[in-house]
Amino acid sequence: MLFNSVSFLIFFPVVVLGYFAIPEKLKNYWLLIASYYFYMSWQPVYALLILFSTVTTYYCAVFIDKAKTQKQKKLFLASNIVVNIAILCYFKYFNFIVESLLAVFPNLSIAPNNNLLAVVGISFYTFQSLGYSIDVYRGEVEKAKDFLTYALFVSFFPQLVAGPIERSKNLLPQLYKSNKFDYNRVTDGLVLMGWGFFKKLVISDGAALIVNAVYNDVTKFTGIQLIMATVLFAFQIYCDFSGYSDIAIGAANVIGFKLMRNFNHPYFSQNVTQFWRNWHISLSTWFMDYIYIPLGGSRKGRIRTYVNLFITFMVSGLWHGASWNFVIWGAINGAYNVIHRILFGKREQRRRQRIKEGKPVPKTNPAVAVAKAVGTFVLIDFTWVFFRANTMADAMYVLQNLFTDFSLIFTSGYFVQMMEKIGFYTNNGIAIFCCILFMFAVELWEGKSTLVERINKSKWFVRWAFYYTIIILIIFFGYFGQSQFIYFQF
Amino acid sequence: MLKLIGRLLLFLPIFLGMMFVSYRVDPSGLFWGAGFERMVCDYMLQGQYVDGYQQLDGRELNEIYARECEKAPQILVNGSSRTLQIDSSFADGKTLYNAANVGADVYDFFNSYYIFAKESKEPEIFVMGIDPWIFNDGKENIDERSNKEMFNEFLVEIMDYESTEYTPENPMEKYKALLDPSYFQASVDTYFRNQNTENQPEIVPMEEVYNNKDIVKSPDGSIVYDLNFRTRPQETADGDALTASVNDLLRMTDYDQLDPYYTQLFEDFIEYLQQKDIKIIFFLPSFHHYIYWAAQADMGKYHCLFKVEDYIKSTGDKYGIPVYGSYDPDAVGLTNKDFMDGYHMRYESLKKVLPTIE
Repeated sequence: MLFNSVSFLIFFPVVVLGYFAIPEKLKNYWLLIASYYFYMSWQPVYALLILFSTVTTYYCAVFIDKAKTQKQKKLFLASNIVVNIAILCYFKYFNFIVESLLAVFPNLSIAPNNNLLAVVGISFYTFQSLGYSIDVYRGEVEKAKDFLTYALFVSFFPQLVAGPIERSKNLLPQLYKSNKFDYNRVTDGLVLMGWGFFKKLVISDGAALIVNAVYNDVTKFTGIQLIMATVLFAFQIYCDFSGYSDIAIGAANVIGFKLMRNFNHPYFSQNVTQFWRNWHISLSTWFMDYIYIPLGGSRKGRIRTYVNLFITFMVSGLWHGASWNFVIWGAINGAYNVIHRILFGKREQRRRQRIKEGKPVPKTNPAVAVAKAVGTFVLIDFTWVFFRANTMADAMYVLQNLFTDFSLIFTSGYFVQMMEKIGFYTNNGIAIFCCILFMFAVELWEGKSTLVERINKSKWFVRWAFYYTIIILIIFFGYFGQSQFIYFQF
Repeated sequence: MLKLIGRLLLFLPIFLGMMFVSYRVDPSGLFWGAGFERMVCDYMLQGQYVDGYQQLDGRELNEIYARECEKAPQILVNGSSRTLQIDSSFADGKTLYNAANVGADVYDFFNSYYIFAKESKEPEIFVMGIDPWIFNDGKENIDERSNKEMFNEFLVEIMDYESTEYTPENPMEKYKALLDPSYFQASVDTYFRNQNTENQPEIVPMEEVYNNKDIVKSPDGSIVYDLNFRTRPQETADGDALTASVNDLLRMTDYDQLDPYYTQLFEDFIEYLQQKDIKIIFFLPSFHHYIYWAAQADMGKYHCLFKVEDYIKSTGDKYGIPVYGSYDPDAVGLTNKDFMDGYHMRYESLKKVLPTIE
């Protein structure tokens, strides 16, 4: 069931009304049933997999909690990690591993399994489960009080299929508390959902029509067409994923749960390191806490820090998808971060130290800030080529032809003609760019607060103008073909 | 909760506005029929002659006309383009509507009556322009523009036949479109496209109707062919007929027998109309000599053309229905000069064959 489907428009109000209408002790049962129903609407058989992962992790955590020695704890944690990673590897990476092996050793007697199910959201709930068991092992969180609560923690429908990847210390305690209908909280949630729908239906799905036209047949296009599609993809993926996150966080908020922020204006970032602190925050921090720091983080010398950073980004690339495109995408981002650390690591450290000590930090000139943001965008957009291209060959074609006939764009009519060929005008390309500008204007308006906080501080007519604008833009320019969210495949 | 509902109601104007625009513009013609045809129909109901026939979906127009006209026409004419010139001058002061369709097939034959019947606007007289192919049992029988769903509806609703392909439409179903933002977006597109006058039908002044460069649609549904077509040299018209005669005759190939299902339906339909006291007239529009001779020369292939005429005449006798015209031009005293091409008689020649309808 997609958030942008009629089914969800019926499902969500029913769940919310039911949740507030039933007695307190039944609320979590109700949410659990709703969450499994939500998940099973893709493939009922998926439920078995998530149930298996839930049972395994829950009991491993129970055994970790009861274990008397550190060695026993470690054993239970290791077995839980092995089981969950094995499931993930089998369903997500088996064919990739086999195909890669066959490419190197063509005579091996193994074959890809074409009947393997693509399990929606498996990377998300596996990581959430792993995070929980590691937290229990580290003693950072108590084990779940009962199986029902833990099962709901793993399967909570707003964030089940594409995050945010919640931490047990944030979500689990909320599941023990009672939630009553709260007008302000519900409206805050609805506003965030509306903003998420705007980003998804208007910008992401609109841009997707143009991006897909180019990237599904790249060799037909050159120069400015490839650039336009690549730039639009940067906005498509941002609005798709942050739109999903906003809907998820908003939906959870309506019911009474506070999920972690997943995006913080990433395209305003001044450098690639900052970008990764602001993009898919729940995953970045997950990797930081459970991969980078256990590897030694920055505690084992400079060289080791760079290696750890690089490994973390490589794993992040592989997490996103079972293909070499994603590995290379991760590697480039890893390289960016290592280089940034080498060049600006000390300066960043000093800056953070000053902030920590409460000393004033020199302000960046706005023009320089814009130039840095644009530069960062260009670097990041370069990596999106590998993320979006259907094959490595396509990615290489795009990179080799990005600037073909570039000088011709100053020829009269050439740009318009090139844009017509990728369906820029027929697919509301101009309106999409206007909406992107509107989105950036709203993000600037937000400043350091969240959208909801900013709106709540505004005068009533500003609030209502915002609500009306969002709805009208969705109605006029939204795409209602029920397209998938990009991150569902991960 | 009530406060929330109250606040949500403040968004209602947006959705009501969206529904209003979708309903008024109605890009798919769910509520008002297709836009261009709707405009043509409005002009026709005002008694105007209209240009833009090439863009017109005649079937859609007839449906809209049947729905929008205040009273049932006293005389209803059906058939193909071969009967489309039959106009009110044949009607002896009665009201007439010509619901014939270009490329009409057997579905159109029955649908042209059904569109009026379902609006309870049955005529007093029904002039059936019968082409020989409407009983064709072969695959060439059906025109892609005709409405099979409506035909199945006709079978069930009027003839009380069984049809597995017809499920009664839920009248509320179409209103779902009003809640669909995609329909609203299409409405906005259509609205702005319609602002371009190039896409709109134009009124032809009465005095220009017979001098017009394009086909003109008359307020009674008949058409006036364009000046060039009507006045082109007879050798050109005969040349067209000759070319048509050396090719396969229109929808007459793969025609082994008169389809028993359709002949049975035809007779049941006649009985149904007669029970309703609707007077029936059969009209067989003639073919150019070259076409008719080509059929005579290849009886193995075109024998059904002659069988249909015999069948219509015997059915006329059986039910007491007058039969006018003949596929054979000689039988009704027509010469080559009575034709504009192989299949279409001149307006004046129609007058020779079909008397005033009373």
